[in-house]
Order: sequence, then C-alpha cells, then structure tokens
Amino acid sequence: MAINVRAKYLNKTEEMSFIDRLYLPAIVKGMFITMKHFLFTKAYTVEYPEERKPIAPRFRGRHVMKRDEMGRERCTACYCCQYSCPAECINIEAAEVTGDIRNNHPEDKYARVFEIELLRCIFCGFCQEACPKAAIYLEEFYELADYDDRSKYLLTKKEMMETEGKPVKYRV
Amino acid sequence: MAKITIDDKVIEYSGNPNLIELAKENGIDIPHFCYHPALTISGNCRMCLVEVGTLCKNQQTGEYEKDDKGNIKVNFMPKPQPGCYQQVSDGMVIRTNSERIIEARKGVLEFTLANHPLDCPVCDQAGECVLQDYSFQYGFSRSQFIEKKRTYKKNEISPVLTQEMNRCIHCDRCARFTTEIAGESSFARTWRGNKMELSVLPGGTITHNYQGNMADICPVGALTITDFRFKSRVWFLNYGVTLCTSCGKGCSVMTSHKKGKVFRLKPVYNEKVNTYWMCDHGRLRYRFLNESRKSGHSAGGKKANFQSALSLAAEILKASKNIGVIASAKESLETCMVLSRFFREVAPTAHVDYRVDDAQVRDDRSLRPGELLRAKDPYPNSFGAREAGLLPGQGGATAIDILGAPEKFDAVVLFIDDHIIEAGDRLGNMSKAKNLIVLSPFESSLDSTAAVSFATRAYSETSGTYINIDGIRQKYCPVLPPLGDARDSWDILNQLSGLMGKSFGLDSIGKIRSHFKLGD
Repeated sequence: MAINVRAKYLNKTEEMSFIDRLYLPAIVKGMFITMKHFLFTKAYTVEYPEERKPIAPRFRGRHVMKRDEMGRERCTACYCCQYSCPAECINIEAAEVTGDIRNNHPEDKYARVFEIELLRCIFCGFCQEACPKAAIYLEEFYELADYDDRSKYLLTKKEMMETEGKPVKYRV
Repeated sequence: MAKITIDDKVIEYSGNPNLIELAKENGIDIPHFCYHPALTISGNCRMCLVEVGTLCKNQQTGEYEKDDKGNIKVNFMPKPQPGCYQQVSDGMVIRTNSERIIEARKGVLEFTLANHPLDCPVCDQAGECVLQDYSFQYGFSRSQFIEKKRTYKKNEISPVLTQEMNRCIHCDRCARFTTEIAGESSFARTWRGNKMELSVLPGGTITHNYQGNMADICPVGALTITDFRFKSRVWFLNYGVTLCTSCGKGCSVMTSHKKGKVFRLKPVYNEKVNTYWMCDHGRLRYRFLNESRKSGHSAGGKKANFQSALSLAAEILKASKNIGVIASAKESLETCMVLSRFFREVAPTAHVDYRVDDAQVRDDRSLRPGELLRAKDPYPNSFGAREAGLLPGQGGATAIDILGAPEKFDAVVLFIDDHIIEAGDRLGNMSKAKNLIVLSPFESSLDSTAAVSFATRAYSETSGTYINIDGIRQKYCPVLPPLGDARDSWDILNQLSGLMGKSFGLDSIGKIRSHFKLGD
C-alpha cells in the first residue's frame, strides 16, 4: 500500500543574510504595526463595569412584569407562559381577587405566586410571546451572575413587578 | 330500512332519530350549543344549521326527476334549518359543509361572540370551552361589532356554582336541566332579548343536589364550579375514568388529576347507571383521594417495612383465637372474596361484618327521597360484600358490636374508609382493642395505637369490581399511581395466607376473578 506523504522535509537550513541577523528592521516593522493600532485606531473593547455596549432593541434579558396604564397588574394568571415554557421554569399559583386588592387587578383572577427559576430559564422569550395580556417582558437587564446564594435565582413576582411610575429595581 | 344522505354519505336508520345524534354516530360533527341529548330541544343557538333537501319527484308520473348526469335531482329548502329540530325522513339529503352553511355558521358565531367577553385568560372553561373550539374551527378572528359589550351585575346563585353572566350565550341548557332533570323551577330565563338573564327567580334558591351538572353542560364559562375555581387550567390535567364511591349507585366518573393530585370529578356517560349526570355530594368527595393519605406501613406506632408488618400481623392472627373483623364495603368484590375466604379457612372466625352503620340501610336498594341518583346506602359495594359472605356467622358479633366493645376480642382486623373517618365518632372505642390490625388508605389516630397498620390503595389506584344497588357489576381500573408502599388489600391478605401456612396463591386480580368465577 502506497501512502501519500504530503509533508516535505527541508534538509538544509537557509542561510540568513546580514540584515536578517541584525533583527532590528523586523523589530521596527513590528513596532510600527503595534503603534499604528495603539495610537491611530479606536479600541474595540469597552471598560466594562463603567462603560457598557449598547444592546439590541429586541435583547432578551431578565423578566419584568408590567402594569397597565391605571397602575394595575396586567398578569391574570392564565398560565399561557407556563404552558409555553420549554424549560418549565415558571411556577404560577392563581387566586381570586377579593377585598382590598381589587384596585390592583383588572380581572377576577391574579397570580398570587409567580416565580421563575432563572437557573433553568433559557431566555427564549416564549413566555413574552405567549402572554395574551402583554404582562411579561424580557428586558435589557443581563447581569445575573452571583456567587454565594442560589436562592437568589428564584425570581419572585415582587422582584419582577414594576412599581408604579418607576422602572424595575434590579437586585444585583 | 329508511335512508338519509348526509354530506354524500348514505346512512341507514330506523325509528325517529335526532339528526345531530344520527350524524354523530356516523362520524359527522354538526356543531351545536343549546342541543343536549338528555334535554328537550330548544333550538335557540342556531349553530347547528344545515341545508335540508328532498329528492325531486314528478307529481304526475311518480318517478324521480334526473339531471343531465343521471343523478336524482334534489330540491333544497330556501333557507338553512336547525339540525336539532329537523325531523329525519326517508330520502332526505342533508348538507352540513356547503359554502352556504359555512357562511351561516360564521354569521351565527359572530353574533354569539358579539357580547361574549374576551375572558379566556381568566375563565376556567378555557380549554374545554365549546365556544372557543367552534370559533377556532368555524368562526373568524375579527368582529364587526364596535359597540360596547353587554354587561350584567354579578349574582351569587349558589355555593356550588359561580355564575358569570357576561360570558353567557343564552343557550338555556342550565334552565332546562333545572326544570326537566332536577325538577326545580327556581332557575330560569328572566328578562327578554338582549337583556335576557339566566337567574334564580326572586325569592327562590337552587337547592338540588345536581348543580354541578349545570356547569358541566354549560358550553361556555358562564357557570363554573366554585370548588374548582382557579385551581388549575384544564390543559394541565390528565383524565381517567373510574367509579364514584360516595353511594351505592356507583356512577361512572372521570377524575381530572395532575401530579397524583385529583382536582375534580366529572360524570361520564353510562347508559345503565347515571346517564350524563352525577350528584354534587359525590362530586366534592374527591378530596378524600388527596387528603391525609397513608403511604407507608407501621407496626406498634412506628414505621415498618411491609415484610416485617406482614409477619407481625401473621403472628398476631396465629396466636389469637377470637378475631373480630370489620370489613368495608369500599373494598372491591375481589378483595371481599379473598377476605371472606381468609377468615373461613386461614383464621376461622364468625365475627365478620361489613355493616359499620345502620344495617338496614345497607340492604336498601332505593334512592334517597327526592334524589335522582344518590342512594340511601353510602357504600359502593354493599351488595358485593354481601355476595362475598362478609356477614357474621352463627353467634358472631356484628360490626357495631365489635366497634362498641373491641376489648372482648383477642385481635381486631379493621378496614378504615373515608365514610367511617367522616362519621368521626364510630372509632372512639377502638383504641381499647388488644391487637388491632388496621388496613386503610387513610391516616387515622389509630395508626399510633394499632399493633399493625397497613397502607392500602384507594379505589383510584387499584382495579376491582363493585356491585351497585341495582345489581349492576362495574369494573374499574387504576387511574393514579399508588402512593408510596401502599398495597392492594387482597395482596396483603394473600401474602398473609402464605405466611400462615395456607397459601391462596392469588397474586393477581385476574387469578382472583377466575378463582371465584367473577368473569374476566
């Protein structure tokens, strides 16, 4: 069996010329390229914690629950998000709206418990797409890393719900 | 045999069938809201419109007229007719899918939806809503209706039902059910036209025991069951058909369950027993399948594995001569047969009885006064237990005797069911019993004092046969997985018989059925 050997072995080393042996022209050439980038081109990196890159308008970050124009919670616990969630990370418990909280909810039903397990969530945005009441959105917040406490990754309704007139307070 | 053509399908029929039923039997679905096979025909929803035609006959010659292709000509009526009201006659030609009908249905649905709120995210009926299905299948997604939707003041009509009149499509099924089936006239249509309201008449209340059926037959979410309100969306639920065990009637029911927890019961059509209905009493007793269930065996008040509990029970039964047995008519006929044989052959005793309450009621085959389905007998298998011979022998003590003075017996074998727990006071003396062997799917206070306490499977987790008050044998199959280490009662008795030296070898329900000749 003939094996096709592609590699070529160089038997003789080429003699370097005098200029090559000086190394100086190569160093100057290299430094020229370095200085050209250093002084005359704009840096691609940003100073991350102080500076942030702009995110895409349809970026899917952490979940936010919205209120309607009258300040009431839009979510009516229809479970559409839970049904559509491929990671099964949403847990909802519905309850009847009675008494004092009636002003906070447009319908008879509301989500007494609304939890998202962030460690399971794959940020696909299906919940946002499924929501018939435009109540849940995946917004621009993306700094979700933490190091000590995993219970922080159970996103509760209180943390997700936007307060009236103010943007959502992020936890970290 | 008379013939009728529905959508080019020639169907033979006899008698005087309803067109919707006839079409359904032959696989053609005619959509309808107000028609229900058990109720009188109202014909108000106009959803079941069909085109009705008759074969064209020449008056003079008496022959059928034919067109160019040689087919018999059909004369269709100028306007579509409601299918539920249509008298079927020989040679009739029905079209349920013509362009005209599709257009008519769209129009009807648009009118139906004109005042129907977009409540689906909040409504419990969503997912099993007929209007939702039909508007998806036959309707279109836009409405020309720009006016304000009709709203009603919210009324509380009964503790069992929640009424949401805004969602009502005025099909009138609930009012017809109340007058025709439940026999009350307190719930009816009031006001007229667009303002029509299904409501309790002034001064009246709905008191009958069949209110849940009104929610079942409601095609939309206007009537929903308060107990199930907002508990779960229906598309998360799994379904299984079993029997209701709340009385001697044994209605066929469907459990809706999720993750081993039952959320509700619904009636299933059973021609011989309950037809389309079930009572509220039985409907709300599903909670016993969820609450205080026992998953492990115990011996002497401490948790024990099955084998050690079994050998302890065998020792007790071997050592005692005077054994009192309180059986339960909640157990299947198969279990009763094995139980009866066990206490005749393995541990012979005359003190066997299943009648823990009034013995007369247990022989009664009649229904409670004023009831449609609910029997006087609160147990589903009293006649099965009777057939198995679970009655005191000569000089034997009755169940009430044993419950009254359990200390007279060397050992007491006690089956605890949900009725005895609900009655509360009947087990008061049982803590005095010397050697108590409990078989129960439920936790009770006797678990700590009993010598051995076995966890058995509830009826929803096992298979068996019940004999109802009309003598009808009904088999049921497990719909839920068993809880923990719970065993079938017959399995426990069969293994005990092996430990006590007279093995039955009846280790499956099929073997029991063939051994006692109970059919397949």
